[in-house]
Amino acid sequence: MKLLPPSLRKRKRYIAFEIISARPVEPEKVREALSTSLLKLYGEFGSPEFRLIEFRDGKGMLMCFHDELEKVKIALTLIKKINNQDVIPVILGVAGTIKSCRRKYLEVLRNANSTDGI
Amino acid sequence: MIDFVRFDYGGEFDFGFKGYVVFGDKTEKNVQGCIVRADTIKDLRAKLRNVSGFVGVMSERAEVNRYAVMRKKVDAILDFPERKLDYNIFKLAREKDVLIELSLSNLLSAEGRKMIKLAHELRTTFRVIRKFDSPFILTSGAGSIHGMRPRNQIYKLFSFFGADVRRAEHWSERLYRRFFDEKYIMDGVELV
Repeated sequence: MKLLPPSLRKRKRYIAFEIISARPVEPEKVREALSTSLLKLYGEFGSPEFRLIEFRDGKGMLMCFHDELEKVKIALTLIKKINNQDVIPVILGVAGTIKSCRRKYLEVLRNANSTDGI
Repeated sequence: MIDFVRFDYGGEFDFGFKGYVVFGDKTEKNVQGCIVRADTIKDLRAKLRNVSGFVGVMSERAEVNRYAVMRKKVDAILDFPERKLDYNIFKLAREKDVLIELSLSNLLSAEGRKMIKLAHELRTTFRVIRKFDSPFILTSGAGSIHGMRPRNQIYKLFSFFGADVRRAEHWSERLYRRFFDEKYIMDGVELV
């Protein structure tokens, strides 16, 4: 379908998350693990759409639609293993735009140092 | 806010819990819990004689769990994949003030048809809990650090299955005060 007018477009949400693991994880494997988890939980008809926007140094951001936010969060929580290694997925926060998500949750952590008290 | 774990966790990562009850290994930083595993009522009665502190019972049989709820020494009915609970247990748990644990580790370990069954059971459990207002606690129940998740994520997950998260927070806060607040005696009674 051609591009919808803004009033008909679905609202988006951006989830900032962190994957805690012993070895570094590749973004492709994270995407794979999340889509497997979503398919297992909700099946082919109820599975929400998502897009991995970025993932580096164990932290990343993904996009989903606002009415499916809870589903994606639950699927992310239930990820146990990525590429055969145990992981702990941690949701850092949710924002309405890529810019605010990056500013609030990802850049703050990347630029953090002990003198700032963070 | 309290979490029940099955290993000694030192607090390397902040998962949003104020304290931990460690069932199993000896701990100095956290509250020590004591697991009682029993297959029969006789076995349970014998094992309960020798335990003290915060006692959690693990049993695959509903009648053992029902008996455990009625004992004064028992503080919680711990969660594990083969646990069986019945309707009366929830009613008695409210009367006797025994916590019913619902853990994330159970969900993480289930797959396929087991997961479908567990999801149905969870929805029923939360409906019965809501009916009797039984004390319950949502925990990670983790056997290792990899089984742990932030508190918000655990609560969000269980709310999807119908848990009353506010009520869960209430019971958890109550337990926390019981352990760490010297002024707290019981609901409505505290030293001023």
